[in-house]
Amino acid sequence: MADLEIHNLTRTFPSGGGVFDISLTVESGEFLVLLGPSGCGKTTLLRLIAGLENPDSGEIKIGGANTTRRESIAMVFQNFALYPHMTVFQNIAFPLKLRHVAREETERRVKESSAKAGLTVDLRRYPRELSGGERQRVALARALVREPQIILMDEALASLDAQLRSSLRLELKTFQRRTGRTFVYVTHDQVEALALADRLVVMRNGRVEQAGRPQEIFDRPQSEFVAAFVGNPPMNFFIAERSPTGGSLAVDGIDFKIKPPDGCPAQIKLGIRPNDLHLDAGEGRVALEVVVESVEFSGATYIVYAKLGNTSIRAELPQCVDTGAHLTLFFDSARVHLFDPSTGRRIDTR
Amino acid sequence: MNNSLKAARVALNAFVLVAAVLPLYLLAKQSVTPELETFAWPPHWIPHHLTLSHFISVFAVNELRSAVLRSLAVAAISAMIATVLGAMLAHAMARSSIAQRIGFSTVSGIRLLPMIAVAIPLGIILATVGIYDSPTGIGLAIVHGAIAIPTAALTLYAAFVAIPLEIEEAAWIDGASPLRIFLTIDLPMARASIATALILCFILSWDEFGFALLVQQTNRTLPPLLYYYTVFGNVGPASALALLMMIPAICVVVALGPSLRGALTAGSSR
Repeated sequence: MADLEIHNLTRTFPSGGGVFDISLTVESGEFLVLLGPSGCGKTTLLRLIAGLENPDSGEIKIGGANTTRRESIAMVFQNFALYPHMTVFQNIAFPLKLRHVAREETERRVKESSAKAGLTVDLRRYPRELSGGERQRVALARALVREPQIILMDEALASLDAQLRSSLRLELKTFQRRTGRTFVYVTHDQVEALALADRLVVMRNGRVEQAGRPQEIFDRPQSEFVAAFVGNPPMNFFIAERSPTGGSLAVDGIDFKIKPPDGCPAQIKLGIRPNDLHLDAGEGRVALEVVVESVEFSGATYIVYAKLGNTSIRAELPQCVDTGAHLTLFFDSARVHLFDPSTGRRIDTR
Repeated sequence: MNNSLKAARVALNAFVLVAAVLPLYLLAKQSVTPELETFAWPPHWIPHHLTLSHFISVFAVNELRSAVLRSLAVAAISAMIATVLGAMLAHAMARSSIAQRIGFSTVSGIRLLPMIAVAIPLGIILATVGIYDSPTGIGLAIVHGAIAIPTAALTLYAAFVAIPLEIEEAAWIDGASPLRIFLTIDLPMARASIATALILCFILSWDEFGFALLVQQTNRTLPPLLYYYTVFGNVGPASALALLMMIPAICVVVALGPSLRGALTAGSSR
């Protein structure tokens, strides 16, 4: 069952931002992540769903009928927006108080939802006395207490430090599974997006650039923008030309041994992810001769910055290499992405 | 160099202290000096004789008790009017750019307006409505409430601007109406500034003289009463009364000192 249907939604701002002609369906119990750089309209889209903004045109349908939008949606804000003058209990109970829920019922539901959110602090304390992670759980408990169908989250982990962020990310995902709620989560952090999403929507300039499962978006980016935005370290891009024989693509005169697709333009954008470059030849891999310029240690792997002829190339390797060394890197031609340089759209080789 | 700087600072502090304390001392001295000694030449820095007769005479006058009660009532009611209306204005100013423009021009308009220009028409309006020179001082309370709105609005504007919009939006999503948000979220969060606004407006009315003189011709509040004492040459009783009038202000500063100072400067650096 679809929980949320968005049809041709448009909202423009005098400054030029906004969202344009967005259509999207969110299934019940799905964790949907809206990903994009700042100013891409992801927050505007979330605020439109929440009803904090009104669309210029288009419509938003929320499943389950018979309830108003505000009844079926709860939201967790970037800085949690807890009410500082209320205790944790009063914060979580606030939506119930507005609905005149009886006292015993309120107490029961506040306890229940704080347990679900993993909140273990004394409910008589004030938000200012809590740590960032505890505040996050209070915000979640408050969102959950009136049992909404959909929970919206706006960069809800962005204000926390890195370690807490990754532990809360895991907690959030478990929380979503356990409660079975539909989540719409906004972030500009692609690591967070890939980790959390059941389905990922990449946005750019107020439009949906690509929507799909995270693996699908990572493996088959539909545009150069998505390819560059998702993945860390970012993808290598080259301008490739048809070699004189016409049988393969070449960058700077270096043959990549890739058969140009039918109807391919004279020049084509070619992308390889740094982690698709290997040190071992494998089976049927294409070799590239590079000169190492510098090496960065990133924990588990080494990011190698090298020159391929006159072009810079990044590779993510499992072992350290010497600066200035001549290296042969190998890649699978099936793992190469091709894009039309004029439109930025993906060109499929098969 | 360092020493001369230090000396200059001590001198400056001493000057400020004298400038602030000397008038108060003279007032206090005058209030306990017998009538005859008051005009002694050269003046006595320290009175040779002490008397409490001025205080006794002030309290003996029947008019005083009603004037004190009236002043308290007028100040309290006007502070309430100004703070309630000022809070609404300030919230609108903090949340909408149009309201902000209109609000700031209205507020500065009220402040720039020569008060005497509106005094006569105001008197006529109050007379028409039938609350001119009312024994309860309700007419004056309304006037004081009106002229204190800018003070209340500007104090509260800083407080409301400091409340993140996100919190109001969260309350809206939680299901609260705009009025509910204002009452249960904004007002409690701005409570320190509300106390400040109430106090400032109270003091503003407490020692307002011009309108009080005009509107409460016979049913006087304290400032006109003090004025009549002085006019009729009763320097001693006038000093005693002036000293008594400072009591509320001193109470406020002592009781709310730290929090008042905090609230007065809150928002100034934003």
